[in-house]
Amino acid sequence: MGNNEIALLVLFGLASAAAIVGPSLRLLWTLRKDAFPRAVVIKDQNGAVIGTLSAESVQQTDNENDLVRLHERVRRSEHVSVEAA
Amino acid sequence: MSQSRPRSPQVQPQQAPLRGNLSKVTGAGSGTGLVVLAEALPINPVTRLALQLLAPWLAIGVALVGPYFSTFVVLQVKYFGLMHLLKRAKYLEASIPASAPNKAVAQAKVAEMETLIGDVITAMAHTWSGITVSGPGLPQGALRSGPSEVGGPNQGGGITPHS
Repeated sequence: MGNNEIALLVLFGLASAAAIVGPSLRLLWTLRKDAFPRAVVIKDQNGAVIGTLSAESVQQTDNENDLVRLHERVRRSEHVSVEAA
Repeated sequence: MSQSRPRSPQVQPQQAPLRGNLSKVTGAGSGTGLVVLAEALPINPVTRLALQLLAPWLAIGVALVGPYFSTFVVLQVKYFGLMHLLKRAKYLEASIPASAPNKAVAQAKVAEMETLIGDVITAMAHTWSGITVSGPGLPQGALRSGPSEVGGPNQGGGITPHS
C-alpha cells in the first residue's frame, strides 16, 4: 500500500469517526440537563406547557392544590413530553 | 366544528422527535468506517471483500435504527431524570422534622408527586408506542375516538374522565 492510499484511509477513517461521534455527542449534549433536573416542565402534544414540577415544592405549604390540578391536566393529555427546567 | 376542537386535524401531534438526518450521517460514517477498517486490518482478502460488501447494509441499517435508538435513549434519560426528581423530593420531605406543621402537607405532596410522575412516564411511553406501532402520521384524535385502540396502554389517553 502506498502512502497515498494510507493517507486516503486515514482521511476517511477520521471522517467516519467524526460522523459517528458527532451526532452521538449532540444527542448527549441535548440531554445534559435532563438526567438530574431540579424541576421539569411538562408539555403536551402541541408543545404547550402543561405545568412545572419541582422537587422544592414539597417544602412549600402554599398552593398544595397545584399538584392535584397538574395531575388532572396530565391525565387528560394523550402525549406528554418532559424537559428539564 | 374546528372552533370547538382545540386543534385542527391537519396539525400533527408533536411526539418525541425522530432524529432522522443525523442518523443518516451516522449510518454513512459507520459504513465508511467498516470499509476503512476492512482495508486496514491484516485479514485474508475474502473476509476483507465480504466486510466491504457488507458496508452499505450496515450504513442503511444504522440509518434506519438510529431514530428509534436515539428516541429510546432520550426517553430513558428522561425517565432517569424523573426518578432523580422524585428521589430529591423524598429527601427534602424527609429533612422536614416530624413536629413541623408542614410535615403532613409535604407527605401528601410527595405521594401525589409519585403518582403524577407515574402517569407522566405512562404518557411518555404512550408517545414511544405511538411511534413504533402507529407511525408518526397518526391523525389527531385517532386514539380517542377510534373504534379500536391502536396499541399501547390507554392510561395516557383521555377516554374516561378522571373522577
